[in-house]
Amino acid sequence: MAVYINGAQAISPQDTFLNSQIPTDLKEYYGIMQSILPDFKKYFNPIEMRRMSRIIKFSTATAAECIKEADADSIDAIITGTGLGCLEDTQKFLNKMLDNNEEMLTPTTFIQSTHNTLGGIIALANKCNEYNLTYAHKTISFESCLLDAVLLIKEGRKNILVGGIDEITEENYNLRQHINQWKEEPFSNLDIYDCGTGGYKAGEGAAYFMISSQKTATTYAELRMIDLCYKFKNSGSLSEKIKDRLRSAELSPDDIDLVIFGFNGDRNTDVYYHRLKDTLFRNQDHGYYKHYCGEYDTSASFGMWMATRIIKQNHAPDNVILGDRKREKINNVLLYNQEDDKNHSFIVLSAC
Amino acid sequence: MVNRVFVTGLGVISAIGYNVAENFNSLKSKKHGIGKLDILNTVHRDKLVCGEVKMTNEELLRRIDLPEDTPYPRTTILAIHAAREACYDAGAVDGDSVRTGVILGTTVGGMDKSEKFYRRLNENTDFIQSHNCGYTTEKVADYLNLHNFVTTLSTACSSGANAIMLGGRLIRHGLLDRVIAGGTDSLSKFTINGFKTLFLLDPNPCSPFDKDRKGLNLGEGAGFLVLENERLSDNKKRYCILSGYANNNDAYHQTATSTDAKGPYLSMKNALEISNLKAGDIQYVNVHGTGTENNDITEGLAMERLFGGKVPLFSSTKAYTGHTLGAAGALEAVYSIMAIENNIVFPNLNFSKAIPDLALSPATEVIENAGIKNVMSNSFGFGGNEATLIFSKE
Repeated sequence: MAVYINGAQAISPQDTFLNSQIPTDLKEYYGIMQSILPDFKKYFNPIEMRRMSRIIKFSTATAAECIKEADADSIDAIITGTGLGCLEDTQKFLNKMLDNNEEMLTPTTFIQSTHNTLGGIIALANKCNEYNLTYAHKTISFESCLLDAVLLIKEGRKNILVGGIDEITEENYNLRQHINQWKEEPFSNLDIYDCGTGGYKAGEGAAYFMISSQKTATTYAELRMIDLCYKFKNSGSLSEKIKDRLRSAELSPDDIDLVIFGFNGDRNTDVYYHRLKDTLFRNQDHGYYKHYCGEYDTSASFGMWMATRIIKQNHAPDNVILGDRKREKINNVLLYNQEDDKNHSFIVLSAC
Repeated sequence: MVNRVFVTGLGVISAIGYNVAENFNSLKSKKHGIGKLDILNTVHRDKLVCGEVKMTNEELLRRIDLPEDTPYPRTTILAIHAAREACYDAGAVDGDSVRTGVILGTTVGGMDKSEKFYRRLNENTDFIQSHNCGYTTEKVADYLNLHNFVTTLSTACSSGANAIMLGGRLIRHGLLDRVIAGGTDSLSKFTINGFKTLFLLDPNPCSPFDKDRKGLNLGEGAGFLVLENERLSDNKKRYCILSGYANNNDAYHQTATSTDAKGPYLSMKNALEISNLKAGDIQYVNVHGTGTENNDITEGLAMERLFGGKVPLFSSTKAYTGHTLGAAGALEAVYSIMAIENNIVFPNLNFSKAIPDLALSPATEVIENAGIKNVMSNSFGFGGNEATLIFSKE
């Protein structure tokens, strides 16, 4: 049973919102990479404008545009993925609790701190009583949503809204500096590839997709495969494992025209991508995306947004491509992401 | 989809016991675990009662053979404790030789540790990495030596139930052969204060489904099931089948349930459809029954609508354990399975008068030989996230 992507919208640190193209004029960031936000007044009333945090706003607006674009008859499920959920509201409640020694607290930030707030608000806005789930597993939060969406399509549902959303705050950025997660500043997002140093750039964003059982006028691509693996420990080499996984989707490495890797600038993580790029996928085109959006738990959703444009236009801009172009037609794109040899994810999109 | 999903292992830790047998004995002898806090240090400790697990992290770590200084949040320690019991129970100790998934539900992940050290970074920075929800799932998988599939979900108070549902679906689709699925949450100042600001806490032991109910008590714990496919579970003890499940959204309000109980009604109705059962086939409902004004009336209305005049025996076990949030759905799945296994209905404590608008009274005494074949378990949460599971005798 084929599964299609009939809507794809993203808010990110680049000019991507409502953009049918992948921007080629990249915005440069030397520190934290925060999203470029649209005018939210179009999406929210004054009370919502005041109460809702940044992540709730950029998530909800992205979802609204994705729903509008796909123009589906129904929304049969809403699945959101977020590594850290509503960070700003969580911090606000936590700080106030610590400052005031657990007294004089108000509920709004607590209510809006839960991970499932994002999906709940979309259900509320669309009066959608259907299946609603939130995944919160680090770097596979978004991919878990995709996997679930494919199961739901096989179970007979038609249109599934799937999103990957995370925010970065100054406070969280400073906190994670204590465990050396970031590149030492100043460091440009345009320099992350093969930079030879540790740490990565902090990013954020929201990307929403309409995953559907029917091909329509707005279809970008077919979602051919979604697979996850926690660790490859004791189970053969990475290359063998990937071949295995591709085979289960009736694909071979040679069928893949473009591999989009999760290069994030941290040499310790990037070594796995380099290895594949030079061996199993040496005859394919290679690309990356985290210089656009930075690294965050659901950054793979931005990668998939990029892949929808590449497939639809049969073209990847120079900013995305690493090295020589070898393929004329981009039929199958593999997105591969992992986190320190943990939480490997494979997404294949195909032209249709 | 024809693959049936069997429950072959149970594990639980809560305020009423450190394992399945202890929880069962407490439930049967009406021994609740609600009282003053001894472990968690909050300024509210003298003004509220909770369902606290009365062992320190160090004591719990010893019980799972880990060094006392292992830097895990309490949420993680509770999860490993229950997951280990479930796997031993099922004999699911063969690591990666079986396609196994670990799926967990939790609400605030490692918050208990984050709130302790957030302003004491010079003492400890481990919490920065153990804060996220997925951390615990990976530690459970590592402890059990499983390296195949993990994921974590967070849907407030229905997290544990949704983890079990996803586990069952992955087996039905043939993607996994075995899933260790459950939920966990430890008490934290963050959640206690959050529920306090919403005026949802009863300062005294809660009284679910009572006319004069005043709110919920928070609790902590973890529950896990081992789910297996037909082939793997052949020739071993099968507690029951996970026969039905559903997830619906109330789409009404961030924290309150709709007055017509649409979400709760839909999740119960859809779970019945999946299980191919009729409303009359359910002998016992382990209700969400938090003891809040809003939950109990709407859950009651949804049951009246679904079951008509014939609402089956039902009870909330939250007056025993407190509301364990992300763990609740998993804990209560274990209790629902105990009800089938022992043909028993557990009482709903602290009930005296029925809610005027409902003609419903829960079971208030232990009922044995109750002919329990199909049990429904409800979990409803913030964000309108509703989930229902149905377990059936083979």
